[in-house]
Amino acid sequence: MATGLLGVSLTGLAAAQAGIRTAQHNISNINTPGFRRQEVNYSSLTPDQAGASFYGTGVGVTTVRNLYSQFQDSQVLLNQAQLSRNEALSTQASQIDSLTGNPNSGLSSAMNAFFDAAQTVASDPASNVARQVMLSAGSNLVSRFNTLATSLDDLRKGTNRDIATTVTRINTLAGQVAAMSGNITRFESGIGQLANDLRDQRDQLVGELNKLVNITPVQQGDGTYNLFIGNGQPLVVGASVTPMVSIPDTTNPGFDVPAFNLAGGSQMPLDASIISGGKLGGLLAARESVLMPARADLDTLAFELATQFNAQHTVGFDKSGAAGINFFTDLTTLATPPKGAAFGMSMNIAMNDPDLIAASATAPGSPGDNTNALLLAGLQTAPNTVNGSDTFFSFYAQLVSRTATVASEADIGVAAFETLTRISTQAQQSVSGVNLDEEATNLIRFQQAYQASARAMQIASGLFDDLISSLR
Amino acid sequence: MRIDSLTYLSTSLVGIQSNQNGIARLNQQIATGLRMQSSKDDPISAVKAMELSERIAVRTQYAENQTKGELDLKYENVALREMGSVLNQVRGLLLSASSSQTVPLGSAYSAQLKGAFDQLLDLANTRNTAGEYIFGGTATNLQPFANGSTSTVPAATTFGGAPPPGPAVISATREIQIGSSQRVQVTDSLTGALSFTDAEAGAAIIDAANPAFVPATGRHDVLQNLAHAITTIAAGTATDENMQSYISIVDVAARKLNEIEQRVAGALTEIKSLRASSEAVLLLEKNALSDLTQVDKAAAIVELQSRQTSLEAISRAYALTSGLSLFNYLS
Repeated sequence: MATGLLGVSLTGLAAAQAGIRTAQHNISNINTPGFRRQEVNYSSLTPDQAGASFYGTGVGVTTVRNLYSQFQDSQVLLNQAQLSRNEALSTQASQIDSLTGNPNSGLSSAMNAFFDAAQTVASDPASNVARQVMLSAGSNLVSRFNTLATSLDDLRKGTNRDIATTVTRINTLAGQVAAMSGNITRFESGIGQLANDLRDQRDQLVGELNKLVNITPVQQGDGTYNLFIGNGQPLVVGASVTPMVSIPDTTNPGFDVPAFNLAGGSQMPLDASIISGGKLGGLLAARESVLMPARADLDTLAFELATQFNAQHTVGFDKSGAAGINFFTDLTTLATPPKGAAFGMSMNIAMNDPDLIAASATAPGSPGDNTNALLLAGLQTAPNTVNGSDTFFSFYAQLVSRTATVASEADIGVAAFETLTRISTQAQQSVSGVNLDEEATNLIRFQQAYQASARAMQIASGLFDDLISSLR
Repeated sequence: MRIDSLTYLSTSLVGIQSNQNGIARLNQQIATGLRMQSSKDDPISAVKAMELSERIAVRTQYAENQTKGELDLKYENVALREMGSVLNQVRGLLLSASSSQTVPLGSAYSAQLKGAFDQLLDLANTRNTAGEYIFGGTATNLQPFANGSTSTVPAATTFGGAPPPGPAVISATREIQIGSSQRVQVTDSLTGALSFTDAEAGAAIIDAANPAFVPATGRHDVLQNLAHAITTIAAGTATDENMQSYISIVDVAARKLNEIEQRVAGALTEIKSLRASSEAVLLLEKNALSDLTQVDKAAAIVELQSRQTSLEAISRAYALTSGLSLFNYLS
């Protein structure tokens, strides 16, 4: 009975120590990303039967568990994936927006200046100054088209690079998740308890991965941990990882697309319809909703402007009465759609003399005739010049409007998902996060429990002493 | 609800960041004077502003064309008025001179008429500041009207190097765009005033200088007739019929010039009235553009002030609450 007395207190001491140790662990990890607070689960030990009664034998530690809510965790993952997507989309779309919408780098001011110059030639057709200004405005317009096309092409290359580096990082993280899952299985099967800290670390890796591509984690009944992306394509199944690569997009030449490297050497491309979240989702969305249409529209505009201006210019006559030549280089040799028109647009190299501007509509000796110049200048406001319904300018305005709208929506998305991510993270942390004041009270609580058990032990020890001294 | 320490400590951070962002944005708006730093800030307004800018650019160009047209027309008007007064003078001289006067007096008249002839020819070949012949039609680089022979009496005046009415380029006129769907003619042809058929004159006129005149196809040549008068009056060989012919031709020419002058006056009025309305619209559009793109400085400064106050409040709140910890009270 006496050893029992000491033994019961001993379990109390051990339990208090476990509590203090866990509180220390929680406090130490307050800044560790992905850490979930832990708590010790206690239960009373199997009682001893003595006569007709059961006597308690003390306290035992059942398990140390971490506190989390699977629902809250999945909410954070969902919101975070959309936040990352919108951030990537916003970055890309904003770049294109500032290129096209900015008065300095955009086309609108250069187009206005060009047609202004044509209008000045129309009102003063014999003036060499006016003609020279029109040539300069023409080459300025051309170089603006070229610069814009180059900048958009740089963005295309940048997107390809981003996709490649993101894919590499996904592979690294997926490998780490698979390795970590292996460790977790080994640890847990050895002792039959959950390896809390390893699981936290794995979930932290999944959180990082989820920022790159939206992930659905699935824990199977047999303990296998799987990660799926997109519409259920497996990225990690247990310890095996399907590696991703960045390959040329066959439907959109010049663009790269992420793909799964499947066993057997085949590759499965993952486009925007499959990857809808994370940075990768944002990059693919930006590419499809902004970059590709902007490039195509810019090409169409360059093509239509050059072709229609040339068509009008060649029916006129220059200052000396010779038939008009192409003002811009001929782009009609391009296939449809006129890919690369904005990049390849240039002034006709023979158009080097202001006298060659075909302002006149009559052949011989009419340097003062402005009939054709009026028609050339009129192209600016002529309806139906592009796509049968737009002026050059309104077509360009649509490009700017579409880009700005996507960028603005992405910005709103960033703001919305920042808030949602913050709220869901707060909700998650309200379950899993460490509160220092709470740990302080825990420390006091376990300290007092320890002191009480020690005191009980002292009493038991006193009882022994009393008994032994009475026998002397 | 349970709250963890990191959330507790970082709650203020969200407010601090959002206020700092807001202040940076306001600073930028005030510094640039622009409400939108890029189109995405307000896509609809940005595109509307772009369209307005284009319309303003086009309208400004039309306004420049109006000024240019006005200048051209005024230039022409001066020349026409001068020609009118020369013709008036010629008519006076012709009326005073008679077929029966003495040769010395005739020579004096003739000398005066010669001066008028030269002046008329000179005015018909007026050049503008850029050196272009304003009555040259579209062949602005070639002298349009010339005395066809080396002697005073031309066989016929040449219009662009050919007998009247000369090549089509000489009688071509030029229009310029002064509104989105409005053009105005800024040059006129003198072909019809310096030469005309009977039909154009509205009466059968005897042509003293051109006895072989065929009413159906022939054109009376004003300069040629004037030169003829100079010779006959000086020599005292002018008949009454001749004098009658000279005067009727000068009269028709003066009437034709007057018609051109009226057209010019009409065109100037058209430009003037269009200018008034397009300036009003331009001002309206510029105001609309500025409303769309310019920052409301007063509102921006008020917002800046309020953001600053709230940033200070949040910072203060953070400073006060971040020091709170149960550990501080345990000893």
